[in-house]
Amino acid sequence: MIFVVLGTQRFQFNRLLKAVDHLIQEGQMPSEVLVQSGYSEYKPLHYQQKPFFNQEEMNDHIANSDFVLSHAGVGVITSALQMNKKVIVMPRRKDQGEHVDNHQLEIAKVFQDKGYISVAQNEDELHALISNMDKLDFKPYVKSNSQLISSIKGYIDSL
Amino acid sequence: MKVCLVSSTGGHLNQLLNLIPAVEDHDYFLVTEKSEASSKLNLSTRTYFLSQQERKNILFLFIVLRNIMTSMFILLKERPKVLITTGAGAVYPLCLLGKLMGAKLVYVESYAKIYSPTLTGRMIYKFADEFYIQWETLQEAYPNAKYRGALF
Repeated sequence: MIFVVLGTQRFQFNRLLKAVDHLIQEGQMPSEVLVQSGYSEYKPLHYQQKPFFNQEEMNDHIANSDFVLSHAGVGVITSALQMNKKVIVMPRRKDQGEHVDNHQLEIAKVFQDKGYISVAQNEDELHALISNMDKLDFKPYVKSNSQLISSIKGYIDSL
Repeated sequence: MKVCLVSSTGGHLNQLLNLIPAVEDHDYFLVTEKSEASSKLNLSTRTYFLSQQERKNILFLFIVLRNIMTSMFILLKERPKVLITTGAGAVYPLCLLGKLMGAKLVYVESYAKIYSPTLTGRMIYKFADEFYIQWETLQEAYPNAKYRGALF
């Protein structure tokens, strides 16, 4: 199963849903797809979608997936990487009415530069990535060594 | 110590839940936005819900007013000594009111923004007691913010 995730933003991301529909139609999706479609209004022809799953269901679906195809949301990317899943990301864009700004392009680039994920900017790039899925090489995810938690803990304990 | 962890839903909530190890020795509770994604959270944690607040919605002002009332109710009932938030918009009244009632405010800027500050971050920067950024690139926008690495 391929888990497709569009996130909880109140913006459509029909571009990704259309691309998935086309890929299925052309027989290019390597297995079944399960789609969390959020606030997008695109009506698919070749798959079923559900707007939202709760946190627990999200984790289960990620765990049960062959790979995750997602918008560039930090939560879903890091959840999937922590479960050692392959992740392909298509970032939401401001000029397409998909988000308030282009920060998803920045996030996607950072994770791509580290070798953790592959990024497709459009349907053609997505097609190319999915047909080469077996050959894609991902680096194992290393969580950054952070003092953030201990710093906050220290602050609270000092009060 | 009573600690309130508060954020909107989606990625902000995901980041907030990552902060639990910092507060688990204390009496903490959660406040987030009501949504399908945030339903059935870990039920062992006491959780309150605000309404989802979107700048595009025509009922925006009404929802903001309702969230202010809900925030007031939560603060009066729980009386937290510390508020920890990862944003965004809907949490602003709770943070401001909580601060006015004497709580300390800890803000962690979203990991999702690398080069430019968030609107909520800019608004809360003025009165937060502790302000953390997860990217060093934001130090210029928030000169007094602390960088202690990222959550991910």
